[in-house]
Amino acid sequence: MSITEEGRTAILLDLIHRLGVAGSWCGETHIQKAVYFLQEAAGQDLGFQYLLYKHGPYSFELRDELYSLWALGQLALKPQEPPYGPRWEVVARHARTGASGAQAPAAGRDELAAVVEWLGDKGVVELERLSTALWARSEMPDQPEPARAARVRELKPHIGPEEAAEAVAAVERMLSAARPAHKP
Amino acid sequence: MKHQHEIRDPIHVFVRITDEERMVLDSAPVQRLRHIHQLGMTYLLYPGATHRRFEHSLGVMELASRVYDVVTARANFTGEEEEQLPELADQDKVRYWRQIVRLGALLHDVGHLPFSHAAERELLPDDWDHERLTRTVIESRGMAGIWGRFTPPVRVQDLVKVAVGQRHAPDLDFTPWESIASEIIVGDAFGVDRMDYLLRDSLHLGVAYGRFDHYRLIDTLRIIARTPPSRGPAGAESETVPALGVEDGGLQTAEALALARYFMYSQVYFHPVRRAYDEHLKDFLMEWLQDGHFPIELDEHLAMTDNEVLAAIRTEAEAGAGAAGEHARRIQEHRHFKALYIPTHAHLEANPKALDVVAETARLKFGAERVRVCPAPPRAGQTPEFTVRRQDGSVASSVSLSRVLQQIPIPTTGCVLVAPGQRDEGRRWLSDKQDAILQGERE
Repeated sequence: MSITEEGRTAILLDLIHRLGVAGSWCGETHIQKAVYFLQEAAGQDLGFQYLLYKHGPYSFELRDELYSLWALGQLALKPQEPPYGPRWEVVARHARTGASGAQAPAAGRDELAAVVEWLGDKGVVELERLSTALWARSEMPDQPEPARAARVRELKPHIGPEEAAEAVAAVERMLSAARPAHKP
Repeated sequence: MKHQHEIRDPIHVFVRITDEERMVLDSAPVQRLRHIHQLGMTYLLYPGATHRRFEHSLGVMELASRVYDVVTARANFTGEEEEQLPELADQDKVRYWRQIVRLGALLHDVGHLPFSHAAERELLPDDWDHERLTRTVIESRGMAGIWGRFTPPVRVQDLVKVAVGQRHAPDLDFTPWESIASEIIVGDAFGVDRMDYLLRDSLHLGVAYGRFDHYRLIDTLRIIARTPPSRGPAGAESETVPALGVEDGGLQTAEALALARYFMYSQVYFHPVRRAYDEHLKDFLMEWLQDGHFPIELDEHLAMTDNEVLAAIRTEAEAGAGAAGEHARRIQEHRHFKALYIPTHAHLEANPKALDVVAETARLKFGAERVRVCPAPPRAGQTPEFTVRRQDGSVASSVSLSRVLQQIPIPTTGCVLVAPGQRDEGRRWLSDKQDAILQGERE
């Protein structure tokens, strides 16, 4: 069953709020990668289409959704001191609530917690490696880790061989820790 | 010797093209754009808005060349950009990609439906949009003969990438250089497609607020690459791959571009009467077209222009019975639906579903056939964030430097329309009931 627009907004706001509480920088890259992991690794399909972009998997639809929520006053874009990019924050009255005041669906909260735990303290460089490793896993689920690491380097040549191998292994560790029902 | 052709243009004065480019300009897909109105039926309320996609495409080609020449000029990039984008130092590649960018710009709209119609989801088969049609045209056998006559020959996949961008070609891998080439045309922040249509629409509509100092803006555009700061807050986010940005001195004109876009969307593109005609045209087309869809076969796509649709509207309006005739007469006789409700920002903040709630209640009151809801398209706004290179060589996010960009709202202006016979009654009814409806109380 596809998720409703309200349910999707509720999950997105809850995710951003939790990332902020967990100490994430909560820039667009953080949110992009967290939603990608939520969809691909934690089995919570929000319906955002991803493609491989500058920093790894990226959804233009998610970016549009963030700015739509900004326009509606549900998200705020907080400027930071140069050279850093802005952070996204949930506007206080919407924190941990959805667009219509409903909390994120209970069925998705474990998945949110898992993704926040996995990615909350990661920097953008690491997020790019991990999300590209997950992309490679989705492309070639039956291939061994070295083949996926090679694919990561093919997709993002600036990622070194050791970094690629470590990212692939880290993704496997994350997925092993996930609840069996949500293993992709 | 190559011959230059000069074409007069009301915005850019002259657009110059080569003999090779003339072959593309004269091709059937580009010539078809002479018969596709840039702003659909907007000319029914702004009589000057009769301009077509053809001249816009020429304008985009001209602006794309200017931007490309500025950002690839040796004085305008640093060793850091050259290191990340080796193409900048290879003059053969710079020349080749200049040609690709020009052609991609000229071709970026060849997939548009008649009247540039926005309702592609309803009027095209599943998984089709005008970008996919554009790609089909570029990859067609008919155009292949032209690409081979360029020196050096044009690679079709390169053209597709710059003409439709990464969002609409998710199956293709883009290098950083190719991403920038496509950003020049279709990028959210500084894409010349948007620059040209704001300037051109503004001129033809007779409104001033779509204008901005595009000369200054283009002159200050740069490819900006930077390595991540070696020290900073944990997890701090900053751009690490090359992208189109602007020098300090262009920040105010970038603000003016964002404001122009906001005003044009909120006052013209989302004008309720304009959207009413979009709805009536969609209704007509869904009745008139076979299976309710425009054809996706190339020959049939190329044969279908505004002229064929206008002739059908006239015929159906005069003699047509049934729904197609009724929809055609609404257009022909200007009996369009009227605005019943346009939510304020306060309404939307209090209830993001305000538009749907009012529409649903109005349908119960007046009947579904007399009520239409036109939601604000999700991509109505402009991403306010881009990279700025400061005078001391450091870089910063535009959002950090510009309070204007932080504050410009994204137009969220959807509307509920009602049949003309119900307008006065509807407005009285809504005036009495609005608060209760928005709070979720049913009559």
